[in-house]
Amino acid sequence: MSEPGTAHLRDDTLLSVEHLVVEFPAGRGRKVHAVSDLSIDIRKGETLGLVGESGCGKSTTGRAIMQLPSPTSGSVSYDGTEVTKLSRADLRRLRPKMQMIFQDPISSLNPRRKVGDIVAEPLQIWGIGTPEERVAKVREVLDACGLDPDVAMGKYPHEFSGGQCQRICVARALVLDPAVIICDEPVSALDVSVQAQILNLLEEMKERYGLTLVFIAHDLAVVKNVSDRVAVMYLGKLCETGTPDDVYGSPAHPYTAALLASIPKPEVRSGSEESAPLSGELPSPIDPPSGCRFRTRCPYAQDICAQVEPEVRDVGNGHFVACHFPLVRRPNEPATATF
Amino acid sequence: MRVARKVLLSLLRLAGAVVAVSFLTFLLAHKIPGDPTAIILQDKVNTMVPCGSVLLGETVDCGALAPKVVHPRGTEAPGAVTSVCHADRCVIASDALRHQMGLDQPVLTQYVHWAGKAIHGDFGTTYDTQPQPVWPQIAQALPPTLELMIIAMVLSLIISIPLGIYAAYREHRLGDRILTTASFLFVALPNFVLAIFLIIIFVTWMGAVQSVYVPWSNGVGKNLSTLAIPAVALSLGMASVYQRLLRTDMIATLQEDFILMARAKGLPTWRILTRHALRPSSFSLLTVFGINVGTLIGGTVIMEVMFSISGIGKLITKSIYVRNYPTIQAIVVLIAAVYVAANVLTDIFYSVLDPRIRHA
Amino acid sequence: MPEISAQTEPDPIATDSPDADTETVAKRKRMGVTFWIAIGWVALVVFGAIFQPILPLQSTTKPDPCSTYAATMANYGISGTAAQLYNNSQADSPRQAQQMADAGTKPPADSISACPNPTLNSKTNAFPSAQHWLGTDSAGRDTFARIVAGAKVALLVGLVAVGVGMILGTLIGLIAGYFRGAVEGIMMTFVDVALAFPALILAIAIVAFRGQSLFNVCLAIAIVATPGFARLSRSSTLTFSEREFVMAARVMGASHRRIIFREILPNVALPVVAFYLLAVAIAIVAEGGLAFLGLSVPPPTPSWGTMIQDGYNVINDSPFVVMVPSMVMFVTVLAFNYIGDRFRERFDVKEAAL
Repeated sequence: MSEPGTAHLRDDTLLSVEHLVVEFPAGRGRKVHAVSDLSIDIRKGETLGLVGESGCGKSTTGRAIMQLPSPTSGSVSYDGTEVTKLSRADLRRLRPKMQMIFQDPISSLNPRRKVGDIVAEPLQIWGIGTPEERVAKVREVLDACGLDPDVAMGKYPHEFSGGQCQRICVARALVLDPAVIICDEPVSALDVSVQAQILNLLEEMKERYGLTLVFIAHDLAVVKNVSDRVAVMYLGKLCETGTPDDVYGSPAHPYTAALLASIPKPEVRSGSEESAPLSGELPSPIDPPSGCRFRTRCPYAQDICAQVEPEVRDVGNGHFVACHFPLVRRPNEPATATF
Repeated sequence: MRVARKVLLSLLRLAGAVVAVSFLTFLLAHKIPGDPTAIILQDKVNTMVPCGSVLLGETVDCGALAPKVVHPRGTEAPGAVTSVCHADRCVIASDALRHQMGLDQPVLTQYVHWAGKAIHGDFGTTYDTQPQPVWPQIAQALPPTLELMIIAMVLSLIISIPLGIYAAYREHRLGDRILTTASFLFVALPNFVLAIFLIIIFVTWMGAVQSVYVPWSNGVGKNLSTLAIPAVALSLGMASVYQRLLRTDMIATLQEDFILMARAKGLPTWRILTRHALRPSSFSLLTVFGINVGTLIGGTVIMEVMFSISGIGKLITKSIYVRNYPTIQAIVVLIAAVYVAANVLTDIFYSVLDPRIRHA
Repeated sequence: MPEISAQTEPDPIATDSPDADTETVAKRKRMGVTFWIAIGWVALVVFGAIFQPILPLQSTTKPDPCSTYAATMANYGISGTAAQLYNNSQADSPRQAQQMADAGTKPPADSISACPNPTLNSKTNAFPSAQHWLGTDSAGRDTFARIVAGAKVALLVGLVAVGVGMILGTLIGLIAGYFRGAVEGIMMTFVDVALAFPALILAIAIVAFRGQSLFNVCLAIAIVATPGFARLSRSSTLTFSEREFVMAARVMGASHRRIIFREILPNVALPVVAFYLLAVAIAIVAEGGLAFLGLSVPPPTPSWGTMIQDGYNVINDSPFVVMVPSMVMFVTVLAFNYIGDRFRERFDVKEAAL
């Protein structure tokens, strides 16, 4: 891959996103640049953690992959199929393969329908199985998600706690036997004590059903434990991607470093310089900074950062960063930055 | 600046709505079965209009039209004017008349023509054997209608404001509960049913007042006494709604800090209620007060018919009986204009009065 | 003016009564006796309207035979004496008058069988009696039979016509609120224009221009009701469309139709139904209003509105005649209002619990 901005992309991926751009009209002819030229990919059976502050475009990326709404430009290919080019009917046929779990479990369940119907609905839409088979399938996934089918199926969502509702959402996503599940902040609306349960459930389900996960979260600690690969986003751009050990152990992008520094845990990190936690406001995505979008808040920013947008480049072992002055040196290159 | 823009926008909306409403009424009036000329020529059923005779101030020109007659069974004979047939009878109408009235034009052209004159207060003439201009009729009918509406509006405020304050002040106590129940009953009570109850009590049983309208010219006192029942019947339902609204808002206001502050300063209760709490609590009341103009117009029409008040309502019903479409159309448009204008005024009033909206 | 004195008695302005609040919450849970009375009344009206044709009621159009008894007698030329006797109050009842007349000439047998149990009340504008439970009207027709028949019109105009308006308006609102964009713009412009008409005036215009008939009255009510429902269901649809369960349904591959009807409609339905109950009450009153303008159903079909209007003509002599349909209409409207209010309260509680 020699194309600019896609150096980090790999072959034999299940889902690959290239040059994804999502813009929304913001009135008076202006546009919100929610996602700008983002490229990421996921191999089968992998979990990609997508992290960043609120408003960085990570949820928009998740939805653009699902074509809800379709991205402004760029490509999303699933298993060799270009999803953005599909007709409405073909896209609909692809939907069962890719499911989604949302942030607010209560809001994502129709309050006027019983849990049994909610979980069975995907099967109904696709006309899968006889009514008996559907019930059996619904019972199976509810059971797999740690809910007692006999109790749960006849109840309404408001009779359950947030954590239980998220289990129902997981069950609903699983019922169609999807290949990919996009988890859009699946635990951030939950109590801390429940978060771990849901994360464990997702891990279990991934093992059991051979899933590929895109895990979107703003909480770095959550992502670290579940991901095989981590991608850090800032203002609609990819900052850094790599294995959790690399990204967390030796962050190459000043933004990642600042994010890690802002975790209030007394954790000793090796290989990274002392980073100050983030300061300043997130710039408006309507009018993002030129060059490197992080430069307005970056302690190491220089003139070049305002003029030239940094390319994604390798800093070793599949660890990629989009920064003119990465905090880790490239394998065969002397340090460019002097701090 | 914001207020000015809002006013301008509201006025544009007003104009748009009136145009839309008047066009729809126009369409509705022109979609009716039958020919308006048939109504004008109603008393000339099965007669022939001789050449050179005068119709609506115009001479029937036989040469230009080569008129013909249609007999009941549809056989045609030369020598008379084209006619419109209903079942077994024919009403003579004339192309000349149709042409003179502009009825042979497309509806849109007719509408533009009508609207152009309507802007200058000319709503045309009635479809009648003795056509009259529409506007003077309306102008004559307006004062009693406006009088009744204004009295009813003022009365509803006089009743609702003190009761609303009182109910909020005595929240959940006996007085408040009685008022809540009563307002629920009066909201459900149709105004004409209330009028009937009032007539039975005050006219039939007590003989206290008259139930037939007396105009201003016969004495203000008499006039007002005959308007008492319709005005009360119209206002009690509205007053109940206002009382409820004021009560709810006032209860919320009374829990705010500035009321606590006023109490801490040792102001008397009535002063806190009327000076400090009333104004911030009256916004929903004012909004609904404006919106209610439409309901009030409907109610006024019924009251006028019940109490023989020669106002707009009476005029429109009379026009409906004699199928006097130009008058009906003019009144409907007028009412729609007043209604939309009231809504726009409420909007403007609201945005000028409420600082939260002005600065938002 | 009394000063606020915190020592002597609790200050009403500051009274923040948690007891009262819990009390109202508890009250909301139970529907209460009044609610069931209201439901019972509506059920009675519906029952009467549906089974009116097969109920053993008197004619709604023909006057009571006894009210025309004297006239019948006069027609035969032989009972002039009976009619005279009755009218001159020399006899206490037509029957007695008949008996007195019988002494002279023989009356036709069928006129007696038509009026088997005549009493003084068997005439026009009569008070209630065993024969006429709610008396008779100014034409001597049985008021009870006409009230029951009028219920049919009330329900057609109220439940059915408003129901049509509700379905139409809800559909418009759902489509406008779900698809947004140009569809919404066009649809809501129409709705706003329709709302710029005062409702009763619009109804008057429709009936006046289209002619007086039961169908046109229903049509007018349906048209007048539609925009309100469209507004309500649109705003409700807007809030629910943003909920994630709609997004979830799209992820599942549900069609727009399925999302609108299976996901959004069940949620929009509750406020719509609450509004429907109030709109039914308004429509029943509107029919009365149209009747006063002579624009309700044409005679001889009885409706509560036309009955009130008929009775109003004799209000000074026989106020009872106008009281009966007025009270029936009032109670029905009150019942619908009460059920609607309760329904709304209940619904709000449920929403808050979510």
